[in-house]
Amino acid sequence: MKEKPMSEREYDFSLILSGVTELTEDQAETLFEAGCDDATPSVIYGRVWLEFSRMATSYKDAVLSAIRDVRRANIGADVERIDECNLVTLSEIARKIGKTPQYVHQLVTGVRGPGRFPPPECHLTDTVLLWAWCAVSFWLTENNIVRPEVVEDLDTAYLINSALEELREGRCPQPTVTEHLKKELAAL
Amino acid sequence: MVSRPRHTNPHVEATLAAAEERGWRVEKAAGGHAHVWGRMLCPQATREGCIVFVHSTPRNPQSHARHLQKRVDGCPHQENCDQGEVP
Repeated sequence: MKEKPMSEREYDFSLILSGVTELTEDQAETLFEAGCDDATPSVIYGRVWLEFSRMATSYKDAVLSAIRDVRRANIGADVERIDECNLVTLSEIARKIGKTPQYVHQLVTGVRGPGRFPPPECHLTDTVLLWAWCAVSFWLTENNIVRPEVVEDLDTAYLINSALEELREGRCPQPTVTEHLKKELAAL
Repeated sequence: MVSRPRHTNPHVEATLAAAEERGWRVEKAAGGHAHVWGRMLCPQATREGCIVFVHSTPRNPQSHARHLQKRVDGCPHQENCDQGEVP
């Protein structure tokens, strides 16, 4: 395998914490000392965010080392997810790939590009639709609409979030509810 | 004119001053903290408002200032805030 150059650059990302609904100055101080001195904590509606700008050799290294630092602070908080939602609006798709919403709309309708853009997942509101980023990202790179490096970090964020979610589900005390539903659905 | 201690970093101080222009309150920490300089509180001056922590010695002051600015711009309590999205 070809070795990648190990040069560092700054990666911007935001971590959402669980286990805390507010943050004291002492906790902010502890996070800082545990290595989160490149993160800005904020609290909105009882949810704590850490906005990072971290030097690392890759996006993955940047995020994983930040999660390690949050855990190391031991303030009763853990990382719920990276603040990147897999469900995205058409405007958000445009923003992520540096194009206009009009351009993306043309891809969706097939006026531009090869057609067969992934169908939307659901409505956000009556007039706004949501697409699954992972499906859109795959289509965009498969069809050479964007270069893989444009969506690489966002795809990594999606994978890390999926892994965090699976780890959480593993700790879920009542999996029987969904197990029953799965059986019912399979039997239809 | 606001009578609060100024942040020693010009990037951070400029962001704090600009936030105050937009109705944010800047509070210096009570003391005893080596790294937490204070907090910015959004115009929604209740427990439900945004709270953003300001560091005295961030690893990269310019990045820290950018983070603060992002939270000011993204405050969900500002007037005419669009929580959804125009199609």
